Amino acid sequence: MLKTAVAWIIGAVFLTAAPDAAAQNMPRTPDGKPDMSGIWTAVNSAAWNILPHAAEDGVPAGLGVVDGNEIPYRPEAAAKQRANFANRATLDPETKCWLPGVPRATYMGFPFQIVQTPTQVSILYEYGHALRNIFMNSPHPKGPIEFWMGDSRAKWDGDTLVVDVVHFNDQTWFDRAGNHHSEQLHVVERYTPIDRDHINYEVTIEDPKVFTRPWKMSMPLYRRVDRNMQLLEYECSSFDEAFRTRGAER
Amino acid sequence: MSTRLWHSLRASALVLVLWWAAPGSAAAQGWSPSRLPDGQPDIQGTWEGSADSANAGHSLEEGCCDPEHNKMQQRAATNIGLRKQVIIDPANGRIPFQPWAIEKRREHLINLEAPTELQHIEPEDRCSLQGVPRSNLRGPIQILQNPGQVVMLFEWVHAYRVIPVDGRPHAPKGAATWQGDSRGRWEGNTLVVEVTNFRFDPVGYNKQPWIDSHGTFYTDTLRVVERWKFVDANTVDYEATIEDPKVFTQPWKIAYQIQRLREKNFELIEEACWEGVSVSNRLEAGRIAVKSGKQRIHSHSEP
Repeated sequence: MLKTAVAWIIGAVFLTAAPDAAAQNMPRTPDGKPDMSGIWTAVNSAAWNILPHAAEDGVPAGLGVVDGNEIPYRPEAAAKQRANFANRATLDPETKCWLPGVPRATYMGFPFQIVQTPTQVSILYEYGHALRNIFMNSPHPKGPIEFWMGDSRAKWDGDTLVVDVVHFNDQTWFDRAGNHHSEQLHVVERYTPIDRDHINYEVTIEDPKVFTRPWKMSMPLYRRVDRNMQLLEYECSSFDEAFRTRGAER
Repeated sequence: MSTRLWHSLRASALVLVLWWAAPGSAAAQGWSPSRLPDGQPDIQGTWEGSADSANAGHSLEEGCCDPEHNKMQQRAATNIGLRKQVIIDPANGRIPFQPWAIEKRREHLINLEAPTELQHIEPEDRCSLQGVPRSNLRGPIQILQNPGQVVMLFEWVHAYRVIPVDGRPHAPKGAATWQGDSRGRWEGNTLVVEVTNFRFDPVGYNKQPWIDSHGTFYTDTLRVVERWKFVDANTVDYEATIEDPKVFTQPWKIAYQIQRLREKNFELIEEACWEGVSVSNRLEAGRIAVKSGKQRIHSHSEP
C-alpha cells in the first residue's frame, strides 16, 4: 500500500517535473518566459474528425485527439452532429471559406506563426490569413460579442501560456465531421513547451448549451524546421470554385 | 470634440513646445529610437495613414468619391478627391500606364460599374488581400517585432505581412502570394522593404489585388520598394516605388505620412469581411445594366 503510494508520488513528481526540465530547451524571452515565436504545425487528421476514425476517400484515418474518445453532447446536440455529418460536404463552414474558429484553426494542417511579445501574442495562420491577437493579462471586453475567432486573453502559468477564449459565434465547427458548439463556447488553450521543437497543445471545451460537461483535446505541435521556412497563403475565398458555388453569391 | 482629435491636438501642442524648447534637436538631427535586442529600432505600436492619404486607396490619382456615393456610404458630403497629391513621380500625379494597359484598365472601370461576374467587382469589395502598397492605405496597422522580423497586422480583412530583416533570400519564384514576398533591411531609421513574387491573373488581371479600386493592375514583373522612414516617435515618411515594365512606362512613386495612432488601449478588432460579403444584388444590377445597354465607365467627374 505504502509502496504503491510512494510509486504514485514519484510518478506524479516525475510527470510534472519532466516537461519543465525538458522545456528548458525552448528559447527564453528577456523576461524569462519560454519564447514560442516561430512557425508550427499540428500533424494529425483532426481537421477531418477529432474523434478516432477510419480512412475514407481523401480522408486519412486518425487516432483522434479527444480525451476519452468521447464528446459529451446533450441528446439534441448529438442529433445535430449526426445531421451535420450526413450533410458535411455542403454544411461544413470550411467549404464556404469562413474563418475556422478556435481550436480548429490550429489543426487545419496548415502552418501558423506565433509572434510573441510581453504584452501580446499574435498567431498568424496560413489558412485564410486567419489572425488572432491574444492580449496578455487583460480582461475580456463585456459581451455579448460574436467573433469568428473569439476574444483571447492570456496569462502565464509557469512555463505554460494559458489562453482564455470567449465571445464566439455559433457558426464554426470543430472538424469536417460536424462536431459543433453554440455561441456560449468557452475555450481554454494551454501551450506548454515540451522541448525546443515541440509544444503540447491542450484545449478544454466548455459549452453548457451543447455539452453536459467540459471535455478536452490535446496534441503536439511541431516546429517547422524546414530551411527558410515562411508562411505562404491559402486564400480559400479566391479560388474560382469557391467564388462561384459556395456562398459568395448569396 | 472627439477623443482622437483631442489627442492629436494635444500631441501637436506638445511637439510644438518641445521644438520651441530645443530647436534644432530631435527631428532635425534624427530620431534616436530605443533598440530591440537584435539591434532593430523599436517601432512597435499601432499606426495609420495620415489624413493626407484619405481616399487614396480608392484612386491614387483622384481619391474618392462623389456626393451621391458619400450619401450612400454615410460619408461627409465634402469628403471628395485627394487632400494632397499622393503620386509624386511622375509629377503630374497620374499612373504611367502603357497603351495596352490603359485599355485593360478602362475595361476594369466599365466592368466594375456593371459587374456580371464576381471578378468584375473590385478586389477590395470581394474582401481579398490588398497587396502592397495598398494594404497600408486602409485602416490601422499594428507593428510587432521579433528578432530578425517586422510583423505588420492590419485590421482590414485581418491581413498580415511578415517582413524578414535578417538577410535571407526571397522565396522561390513559383510561390507567389497576394501580399507579395517581403524582404526588409534597416538603413538607419528607415525600413526598406523589397516586395516581389505577387500573385497575378494572366487572363483577366482581376483575380489578383489591384493597386487601387480604379483597376490599377500589375503582372508577374511587379516590384515594389517601400521606404518606411521613421522621422520621430510618431511619424513615418512613407514612400513606395512601383515598377512593372510590362504595365507601366516608367517606375512611379507614391508618398504620404503614416502616423502613430494615439487612441489609448487600442486593440485591433476582428474584421470578418468575406464572412459577411453579399454580392448577388450587385451582380443582378450589373446584368440588368448590361442587358439594357446602360454601361458606363466608373468615374467621379461624370454627372
